[in-house]
This record gives sequence, structure tokens and C-alpha cells, in this order.
Amino acid sequence: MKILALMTILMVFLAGCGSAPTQATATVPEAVLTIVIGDNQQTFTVDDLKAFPSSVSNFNGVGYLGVSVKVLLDAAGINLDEVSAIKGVATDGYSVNYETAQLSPDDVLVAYSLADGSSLASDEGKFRMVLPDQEGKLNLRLLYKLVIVP
Amino acid sequence: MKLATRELATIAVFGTLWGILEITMGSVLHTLNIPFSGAFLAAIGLIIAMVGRVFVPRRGSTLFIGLIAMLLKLFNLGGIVIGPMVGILSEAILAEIVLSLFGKPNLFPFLVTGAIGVTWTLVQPFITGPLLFGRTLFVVWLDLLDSGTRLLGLNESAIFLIVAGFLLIYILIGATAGWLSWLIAGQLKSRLGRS
Repeated sequence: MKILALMTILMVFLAGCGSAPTQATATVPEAVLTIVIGDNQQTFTVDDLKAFPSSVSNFNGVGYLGVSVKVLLDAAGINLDEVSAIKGVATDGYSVNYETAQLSPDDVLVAYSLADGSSLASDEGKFRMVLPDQEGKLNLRLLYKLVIVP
Repeated sequence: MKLATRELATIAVFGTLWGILEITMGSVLHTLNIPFSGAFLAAIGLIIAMVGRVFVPRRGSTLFIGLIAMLLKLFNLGGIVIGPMVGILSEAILAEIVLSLFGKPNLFPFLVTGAIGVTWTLVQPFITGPLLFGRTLFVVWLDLLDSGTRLLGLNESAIFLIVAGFLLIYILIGATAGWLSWLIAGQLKSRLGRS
């Protein structure tokens, strides 16, 4: 029993070693969306995104208003076909590496509000990814950065 | 291979234990995004499978335990999950191969089985990702590097350190699982008066 208790403590310790989020929410400028391409970066506010053609997509029965990722990246001068992957980063440190094929459908959005125009919930942040019909972990909330992997 | 009713019942018990663990604790750990959850889950599953092997020291028994666990995973909280099902089966196949190669259950084969079985969870996404989920190897690799920066606190460019670090941790967790299963099996046998 002593050994079992010791092993449990060891496992809990190991799990604790990797406490997932490394970025404090307070230090991240969540009011802007940053697109990082190598050493360059471009920032977009909600108003900037509202200037693009908007689309509505649903995830988990909720309608979201936003701009198609393809349109947004086009505006940033990025051709989806010419990149290897795109990493979405949330203010809580969670991140998702997207295949370009996952982001190419027109209904994949960077959402900035609900479909009725009301603000996203506080736990969704200023921006969130919406990939209809995809699993929850790909529908990143609290999005603040898209890193282009060439 | 013909198994006695008692052996079949024992296999069913251990397979069910592993399966129930997967559909309950597995779902919770994955949902909470707890670090090394895959490794810990594989370790606990393998402990059950290896203890089962001591009680049914016959070729194929570990594979059957894994098969039952995999089938139970069909009743997973939150729907069917192909990845973990493949994971359970492949861990059972690997454990079966290693244990069969060594013959009689012993501490050393258990250490090796645990280490290989748990380390497999690190390798599995590189196979199931492209085959089952249409992911490219490159993105699976990026995921591994991201985990390295997040869990080990290393820079993304320290590729060798990330891979070596993960291998070390997974092998350690697996070997510990093997050692624990040998201890637990010994205790159980002695308490049941079957030593």
C-alpha cells in the first residue's frame, strides 16, 4: 500500500510538472487578433474584422458571426495553399495546429460575435474559431493569435 | 488455444476493469486536458492487463483482455472514439507480443511491456493521425513539439531534447507500471492463496 501511495504521489507530481497553460490571460492583448508570419505580424481589431464580408456558421447549435478564415488570410496576403499549417493560440495557452484543408471551407470562421450581433460570452473571448461539424477541441475559444507555419 | 471457463471469466473480469476505466476516467482525463493523461491511462490499463496475465499465463490472454476493453470503449461517455479504441487494441497487441516472447510472466518482461506499451501512445498519433483522421505527419509533429514546449518548458527548436525528454518520461511511466503490476499481481496471488 505504501508503494501504491508513493506511486500515486509521483504520478500526481509528474502531471503537475506540466501544468498546461503557460501564458497569463492578463499579459495577452486579447482585444486584437494577431496574425504572425515569420518575423512579421499583423493585428486586427473587431472593427477591422467587421469591415470584411461577414458569414454565419453554427457550432453546437449556436450561430456565430465572423469572417471566413480564407478571406482573412487573403487580406493578410497569405495563400492557404502555400502554407503547411496554421496554429491557433488562445489566451489561456491552449493551442491547435490546423491542417490547411481544415480551414479552407468558406464556412470556417474567425467569429467576433453571435449571429444576432451580440457579444461572445466572456469565456469565448473577443475572437473564436468556428469549424462547423468538427470536434470541440478544434473550435478554439479565446483566440488571440494565428501563427502561419510556412 | 482452449481456455478453461475459469480462465475465460478471469479474462472477462480484467478486460471489463480496463474497459470501465477507459470509459470513465479516460473521458474525464481527456476532457480536462490533463498533461500526460494518455500515458497514465495506458499505464493503468497495462497494469490491469499484466496482472491479468499473471492469473491467466496463456498466450493470447492479454490480447483478449484488450479486446474486451476496446469493445467496452464503444460505450464511451460522449460517443464512440476511434483513436482510443485503436490505442487500447494496439497496446494489448504489443503487450501480448512482448509477454509471449518472454514466456513465463516475470518482472523484467513486465518492465519491458509497460515501457513499450506506454511509449506507444507517443508514437500512435503518427500512424492513426494520417490513416484515420486525415492529418498530415507534419501537423502531428507540430502537436508533439507544442506539447514539448508546454509540458517540458522547452523551446520549440530544442527538437532533440523534446523527443528525448518525452521518451524518457514515457519509458519511466511504463516501466513503473510494469513494476507495479508485478507487485500487485504478487500481492493479489498471495491474498487469494494462489501463490
